[in-house]
Amino acid sequence: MPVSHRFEVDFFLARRKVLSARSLYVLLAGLAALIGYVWVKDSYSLSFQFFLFLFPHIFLFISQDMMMDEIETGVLENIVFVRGAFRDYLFEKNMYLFLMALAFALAAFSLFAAYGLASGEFSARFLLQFLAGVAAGAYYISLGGFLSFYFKGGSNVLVVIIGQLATFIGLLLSATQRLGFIDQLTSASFPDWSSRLKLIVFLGVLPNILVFEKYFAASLGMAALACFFLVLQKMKLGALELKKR
Amino acid sequence: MSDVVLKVENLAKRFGRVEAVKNVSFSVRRGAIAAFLGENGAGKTTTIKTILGFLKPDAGRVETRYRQPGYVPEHPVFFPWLKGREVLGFTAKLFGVDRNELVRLVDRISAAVGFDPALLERKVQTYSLGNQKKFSYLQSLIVSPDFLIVDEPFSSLDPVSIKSVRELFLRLKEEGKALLLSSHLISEMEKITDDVIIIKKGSILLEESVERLKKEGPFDLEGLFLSFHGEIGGRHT
Repeated sequence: MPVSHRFEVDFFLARRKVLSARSLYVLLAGLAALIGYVWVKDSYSLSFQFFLFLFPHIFLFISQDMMMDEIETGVLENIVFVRGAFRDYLFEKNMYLFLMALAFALAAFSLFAAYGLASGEFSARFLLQFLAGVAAGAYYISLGGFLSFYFKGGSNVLVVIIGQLATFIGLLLSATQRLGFIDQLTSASFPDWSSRLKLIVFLGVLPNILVFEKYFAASLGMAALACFFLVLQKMKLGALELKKR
Repeated sequence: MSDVVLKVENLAKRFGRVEAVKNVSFSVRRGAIAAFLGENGAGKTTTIKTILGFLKPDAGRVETRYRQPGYVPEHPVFFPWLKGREVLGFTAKLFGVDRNELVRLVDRISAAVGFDPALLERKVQTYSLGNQKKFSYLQSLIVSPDFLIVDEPFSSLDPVSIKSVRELFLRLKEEGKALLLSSHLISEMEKITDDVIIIKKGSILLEESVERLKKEGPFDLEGLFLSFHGEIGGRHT
């Protein structure tokens, strides 16, 4: 069978699944409402910064139920997935979901950019911020995909959100003891290995900070981390069998 | 040997401590229906899923000489957000079936299995179990397989549909296709099978053609099957 058709069909399946997920629409609407509220109450510039910080989460949300649900329900035990084709389909979902999230993000970015260009408030820096956010998004997809081997029904996304909330609350509650690290985060200066290690962990939990100019350089590291989780996914898929029904 | 489309040799598959399939060997030939019989948990579905690549064998090999397999699972499951028309659409696209050919095949196969094509506008998940099974036949047959594997071919089907499906199998056989049918409905299988493969506790007990069995005496598939399972006396107990 032609390979192009394989991609086309797999993309169709991934796309239809995403578009049928009502929770995604709710989350996108919530994101749009928050950003719109900031624009109305404050300014275009601040709402654009809100958008740039939050849009990588679109990539995270879109990775819900990425693997295990389909593996366990039995939908992959189908004529179109014989001879191990189900492994290719599941791995390719990383790319399809990335492209779909990118399309959503790009559409919103274009609206902001068009308004900014018309009003003269647009800066080239916003484009770099967007690209750094896309790197964070790629990481979210590969992480979400890997986690969905272990967490079903969208709980792969929930695990990441809980991790982010726990980190945020932990930093708040221990702010006085952790002033050093908070200072390092705000100045993006990490003089020793211990602080750099903490940064890597922090980036792993909240990659959205890449959109701040001081962290642009870490985008490459983030992309490497995304590749790491893709390799882990590939290993999981290589050993995957459709056992459960 | 040139008629063989599938040759399974010394296949073994283990799930943890459970040896689901051990040292399984058999073959399926073109233009013939092979009845793959066994009790619940005998290893039929594991063998089928290994042949199709859904499971990886721990040992042994599966030699395939078919061009395109078809597969109807015991309980077919479909993406819940897709309509029947969409499932057939992407299946046809994947296997290079053009639109006109698809319409022709859908009409022909729907009539053969007693499936109402009006259902194609509904999500497959909303179909009754019987219609899901018929739809699975439809999806598998539009790819024009030369080897059809069916797990419990008559499950969820009403008597009229069972007769239709049985006739369909005979037509496919006449067209030179190979069929491997795993079933509990021995009385139905007896009417159509050419070869008998009996599996028990993961091991093959018998692989023989009906023609050969008939030479040994009156052919009674149910009696033969039960004799292997110690239920009645017979030549194989």
